[in-house]
Amino acid sequence: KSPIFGPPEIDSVEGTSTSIKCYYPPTSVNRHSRKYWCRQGPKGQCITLISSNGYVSKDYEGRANLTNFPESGTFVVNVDHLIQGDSGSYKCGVGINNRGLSFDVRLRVVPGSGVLNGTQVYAEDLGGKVSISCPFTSANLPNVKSVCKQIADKHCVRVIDSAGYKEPSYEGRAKLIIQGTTQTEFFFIIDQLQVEDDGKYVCQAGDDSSGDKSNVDLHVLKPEPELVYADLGSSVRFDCALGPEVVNVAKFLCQKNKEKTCNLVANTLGQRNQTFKGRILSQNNNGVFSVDITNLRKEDAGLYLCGANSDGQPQKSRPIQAWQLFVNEETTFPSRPSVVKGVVGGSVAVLCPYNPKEVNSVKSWCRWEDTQNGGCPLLVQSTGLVKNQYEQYNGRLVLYDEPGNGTYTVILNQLTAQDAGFYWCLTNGDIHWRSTVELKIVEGQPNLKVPKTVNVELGETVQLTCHSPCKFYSYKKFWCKWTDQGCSALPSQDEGSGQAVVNCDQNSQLINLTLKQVTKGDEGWYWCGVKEGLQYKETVAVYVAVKEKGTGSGALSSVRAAPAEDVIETSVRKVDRKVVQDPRLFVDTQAKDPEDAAGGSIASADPGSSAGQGGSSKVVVSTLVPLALVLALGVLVVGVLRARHRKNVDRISIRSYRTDISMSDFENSRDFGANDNMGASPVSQETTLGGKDEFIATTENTVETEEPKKAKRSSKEEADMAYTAFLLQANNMAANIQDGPSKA
Amino acid sequence: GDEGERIVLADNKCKCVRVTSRIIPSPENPNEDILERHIRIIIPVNSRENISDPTSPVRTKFVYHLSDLCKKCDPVEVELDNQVVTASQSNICDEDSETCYAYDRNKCYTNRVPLTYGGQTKIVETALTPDSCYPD
Repeated sequence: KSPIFGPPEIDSVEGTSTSIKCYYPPTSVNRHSRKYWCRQGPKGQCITLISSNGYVSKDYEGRANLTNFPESGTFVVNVDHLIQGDSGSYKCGVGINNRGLSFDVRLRVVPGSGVLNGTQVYAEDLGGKVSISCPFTSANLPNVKSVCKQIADKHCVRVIDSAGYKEPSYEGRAKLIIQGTTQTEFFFIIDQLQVEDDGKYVCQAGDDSSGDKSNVDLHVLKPEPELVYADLGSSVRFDCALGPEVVNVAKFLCQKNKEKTCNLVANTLGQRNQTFKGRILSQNNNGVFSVDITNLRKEDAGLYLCGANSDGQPQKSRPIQAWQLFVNEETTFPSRPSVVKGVVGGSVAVLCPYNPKEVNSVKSWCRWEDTQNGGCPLLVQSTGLVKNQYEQYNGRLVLYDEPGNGTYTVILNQLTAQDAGFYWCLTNGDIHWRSTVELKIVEGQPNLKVPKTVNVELGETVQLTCHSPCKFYSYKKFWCKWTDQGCSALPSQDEGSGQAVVNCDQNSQLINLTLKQVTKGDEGWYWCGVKEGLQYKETVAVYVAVKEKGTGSGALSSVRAAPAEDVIETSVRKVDRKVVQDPRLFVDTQAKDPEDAAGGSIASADPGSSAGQGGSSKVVVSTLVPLALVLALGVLVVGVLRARHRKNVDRISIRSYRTDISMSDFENSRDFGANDNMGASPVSQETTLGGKDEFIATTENTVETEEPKKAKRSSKEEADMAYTAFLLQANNMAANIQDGPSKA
Repeated sequence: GDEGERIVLADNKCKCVRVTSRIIPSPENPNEDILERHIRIIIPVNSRENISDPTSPVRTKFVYHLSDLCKKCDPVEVELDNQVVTASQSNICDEDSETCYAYDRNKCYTNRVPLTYGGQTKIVETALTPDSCYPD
């Protein structure tokens, strides 16, 4: 599928001008490549009429121009003085030949209202009103007046007559006006013109033999829908402003489907289509109904209509607004997982995209509500936690501008089942970068373990311990103090003399934070977390409560006890389950244990600590052994598959497929490259390649030469291009030579 | 054919091959549907052995391995045990230095040629694909 998009159909009246806007993905090569507008010839070739190289065909001389707008990824072709002969099939495209990167446009030029070869011609807009004048002679004054519509060449179906008949599809919108008894003219009026009304009509006064007949040609001009070009996964907004007459009428947005009916997307009465659940938001301000749709999918492409109707249901009504949405699949738009999973008590780190050009925009995160009125109340922004969200999100929500370069991170921890739902990433800038992420709460245990709360007395020293499992070994660990502005990292040991010190014991995977001479200001939420490079992974929160000095033993040991016990329990369970273990690994860990116990500065203070470390070493064993097995298996599978692949390559027989092979003699194979298989369907209909040839009987072996022999470009333009290229080259050469000596 | 119903299985720009498939009623048994695979190969007969070197000989041998064409090497995110990891969708992606028969539109190809002008000869770098070579 070509990533070029433009108007599929254009209706114009003779003598007027038209403007065709075509969209292309704004990659560097596309912005600089040749743009063209060509007309499809009878043999399938497309003859260039105008191109961005400056070429204009004889037919278009003086009445057309082509302008490129590289900053918006569009180019516009304007054609003046349209004639009926301009009706036909065209392509707008990008590149040096017209294969691949193009879009088909059908242009219809109808004659303007007036008389043409004895036929009265009317050209009116869809939804508008036409008043057709039907003259007759005075002899037929008293006779029945009627209008019929020509279906086939000879057949004319009666639409309306003065005896009171009306064809059902014209009910309520067509009428005959016969003025007085002297006028030799009656009027056939159609209101709310429909596409089906387009065609030839015959007015008749009197019966067939002696009646007066006059021919009428009615052209219903389809309005061009507004074109919307969006990348897969990005978001769009439809702003529906239908005018002051329907300010207080309910509005709907619907999507046309294959059966030509329109499926409701959303309306101002709060109804929403379930296929857009979580990724649609609408608001109705001063009669303007705006609908945002995020995480665009392939199937979202199509025609969207917005109208007003008291019950909010799609209906053929006027006024109406239309958009043709194109979803570009060959996109560089960053794809992010649309679902994140977290466990109760655990955390999630959501990566949100934003337009990399808008580094200084205010980034936000809101929670999508599936209520009547919809909406998405903000939870957190770059500037900090939103004020009225304190109760629910105090100590557990942070927005980091990291890792930057088009992505920011939102971290939510202490998850509960109520947190499941849809959340939106948004900024105050480009709306196309909005995205939705669904948070699912799943079964499981958080990986990081800390005590829930820690009580400490004023002036005491407290050590907060965070246990991280061995799979986080390579991650950077940190402690930070949560505020409503964010979570600022606390200095690690080597950074110095601060009041709080972080150190990480590599063997036990314990991350300790020591708070010395605790003051009232130290009270609050502390987060322990891990990072991989610039990406945040898991976090866990602990609340430190500072009490006035009183009785009681040191807080230190009570803090330590909680996580240590926990660890031993889990590790023992794991060891029990594993039957096959490498004894050497055991020896290794056991040898380490006493060293740890001796070397650990905290060991003497806490008897549980060495056991905890030993336990975590066993966790290493129980993780490493299955890991090794999996790796070995993986190597084996890869080996087998590769061997099979090699065999299959030779076994594939081209006879079993329909094959087009075209020999084309374009100079070199420019203009075809791009990322491989980008548009390829993720759902493959295929069975595995090779093996048994399931397809042998299915198709006959045909060799079609679909592609025409010549790269199609008019020779005149070719010559132009060659000359321009020559001039450019000559210029460059001259410039280089002149530069040469001065540099040396 | 009915382009709309075709599913693109592979669109290999490097080798100029597109593989699509669709389900059609069997010509032998009208009660059966069969899968038809459609392979379109455009052969750039004037391209060079090494597309980056216009002085290399004209390519006369074009080899197409269906399994190579259909591989998808772009890393995709897959979920394993509630964790999202990126993985390649094929097991033959590590074999790099694939020979292409066509230019990648998004890549700039250059070549160095001697240029004599005003009695001096120097080596200049020329763009083979000027549209793709703008620094922006």
